[in-house]
Amino acid sequence: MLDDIRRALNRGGKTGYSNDRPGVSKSSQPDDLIAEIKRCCEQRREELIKQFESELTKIGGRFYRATTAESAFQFVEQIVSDRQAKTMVACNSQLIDGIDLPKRVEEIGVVFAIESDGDFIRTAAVADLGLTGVDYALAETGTLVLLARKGQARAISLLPPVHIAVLKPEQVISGLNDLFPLLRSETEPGGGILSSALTFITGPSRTADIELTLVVGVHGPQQLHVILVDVA
Amino acid sequence: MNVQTESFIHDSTAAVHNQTLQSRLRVLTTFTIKRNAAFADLEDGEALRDRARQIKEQTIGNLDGYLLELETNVVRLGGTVHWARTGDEACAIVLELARKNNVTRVVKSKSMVTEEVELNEALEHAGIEAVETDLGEYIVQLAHEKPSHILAPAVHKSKGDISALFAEKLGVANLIEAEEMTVVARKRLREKFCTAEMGITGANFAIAETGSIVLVENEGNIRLSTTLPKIHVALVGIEKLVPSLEDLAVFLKILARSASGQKMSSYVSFITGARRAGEADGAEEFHLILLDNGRTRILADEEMRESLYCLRCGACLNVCPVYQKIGGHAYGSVYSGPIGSILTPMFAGLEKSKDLPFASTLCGACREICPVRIDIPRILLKLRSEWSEGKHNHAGPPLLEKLAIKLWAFAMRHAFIYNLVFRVPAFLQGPLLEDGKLKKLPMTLGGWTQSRDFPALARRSFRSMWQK
Repeated sequence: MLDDIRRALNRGGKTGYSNDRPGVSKSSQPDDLIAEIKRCCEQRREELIKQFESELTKIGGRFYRATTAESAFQFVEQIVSDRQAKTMVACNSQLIDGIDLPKRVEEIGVVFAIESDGDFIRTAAVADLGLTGVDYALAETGTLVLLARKGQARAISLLPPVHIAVLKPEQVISGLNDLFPLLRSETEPGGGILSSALTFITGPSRTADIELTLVVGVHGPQQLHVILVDVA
Repeated sequence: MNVQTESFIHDSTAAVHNQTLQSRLRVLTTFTIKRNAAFADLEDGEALRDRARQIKEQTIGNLDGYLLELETNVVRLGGTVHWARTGDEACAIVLELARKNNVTRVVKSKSMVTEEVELNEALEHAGIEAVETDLGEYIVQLAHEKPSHILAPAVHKSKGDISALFAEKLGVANLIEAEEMTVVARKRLREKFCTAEMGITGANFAIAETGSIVLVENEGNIRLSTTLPKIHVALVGIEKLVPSLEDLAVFLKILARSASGQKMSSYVSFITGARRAGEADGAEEFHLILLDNGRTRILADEEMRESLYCLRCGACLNVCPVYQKIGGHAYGSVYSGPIGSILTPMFAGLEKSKDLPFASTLCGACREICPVRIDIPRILLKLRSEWSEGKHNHAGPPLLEKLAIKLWAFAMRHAFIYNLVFRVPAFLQGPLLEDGKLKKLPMTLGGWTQSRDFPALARRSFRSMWQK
């Protein structure tokens, strides 16, 4: 098939292909670029958080800002009570620093499971709430960025009807132009640039397939809550 | 690719007279309004479109190198790459994978390319249940129909139609609101997701440097299809490549805006190889099938090549005055609208779809809105001329038409004859005039006036006025 393609291109032996990519950070002093991105986001932190909040709420997500771990957990409690949730599944038990999630969640009468517990998919499929961390948040579009790995399963932000994401201020960056160089800079030697699944989540699941009427919560979560834990 | 384009004239005429369809098609303008608002919001929108086109030119012009880079990276990260020259080869690869893994049920996410190779039919023929999981596709599949729009497959159906369909096929009666129907579909499909052994998707992009495929959606069915079943198979046309993540960023900024007027779709999934050690979910096997199926033929023709840049956003359908009147089904092919009138003849053969390049007013709205600026009218004209010149095992136009054109050319070159030829009918047209217009021309000329009026010929020509 490749021979067919080469014949079709009929380049007479010349090729414009090269896997050196001008303009891609790998070949143009990545450290400087990364440092610049980080400095820039740090400087504009408050503005980026505001922009993220505004974009997220525009597309139907809900945003909470907690200044202590305790108040972050209170937001979780509030969502549990609003939804009358009975079960919660989380990526891991250290999502809010300083909060013993399994203990606290059980205390409010909710069954708690994490991804390493038994038949995890079956648990996630019937859970009322899914609780995850994130890797980045993009201010320009109100997008959450999650890299799949051990301790961050894909189904938790997908199967339950409600997704709660816990976010840290330093994870908020401006947009795709920041994200991709950052992801490349985190590449482990010998590994791939991306993990097995990189997921962007921008608001709740939605469809307009019936008469172009917007309906939220088709296959994925109907509600998306983002809690920013901003402990000074 | 199986097409029903031979009955285009009949089907499109019927569509124009179908009042239900006409009322459904009126909603299409909402897409364009949203699209325009989303681009207005983007500071460097026009520059991004130029850049996107440039990336496509560069990548498709060096496709061999990028495909090899992609293959190397997919394999290195635990995936398998298959090469399929034809649709049949692609189906055979999927069936073999299904057989080896005792697959009885497949969940599918919306993919034009699987429609192109008729994968559902192949799976069903082999006794494997193939379930479309995009809500619109699910509706269309229940009704045993084909999608009528790239983005909104069931746009031709009303709420009432869908309610009746769900009552008949799912035994759930009296659904009134779109929300209720969506809840019913969610439940039914969730069962399918949890029990399917294989998930089949297409891809919006494949990234050479990372070995990833990228899937853009709003519902979450693609995420489910790649997360729950044990095996994930992605069927991807070879033209979907982009070199790097930075290149992809350009396309992500314009795709959702062009398709639905969103800044970013609800979900974008980058799938890179199979699930890795220690991970709790995700497919254990990842198979990427790279499909040619006529694409290298298009690649070889430099005048046609840019049709491979298409992102399948559907924007050209929404602005097309022809699509707006006849909808997607009349095109008789999975690819409809202006871009379909190019792709269908190229994939299925012009002899089977000769009417499609002519089903255009050449107004250029498609070229204006195309995020990668494909010059669709130019290509349509080229296909028309190929047809008229009698390429594609076709004898060319009838003798009478050739003769008429020759006479015309002769008259145009000789002013005296030209004057004479046009003065005579101007005097003779009297009995044919109706309200000052020619509404019914005689004999073979009648085709002209079948669906439009011909203005009356002026008594005095411009030339004679000019001379005075």
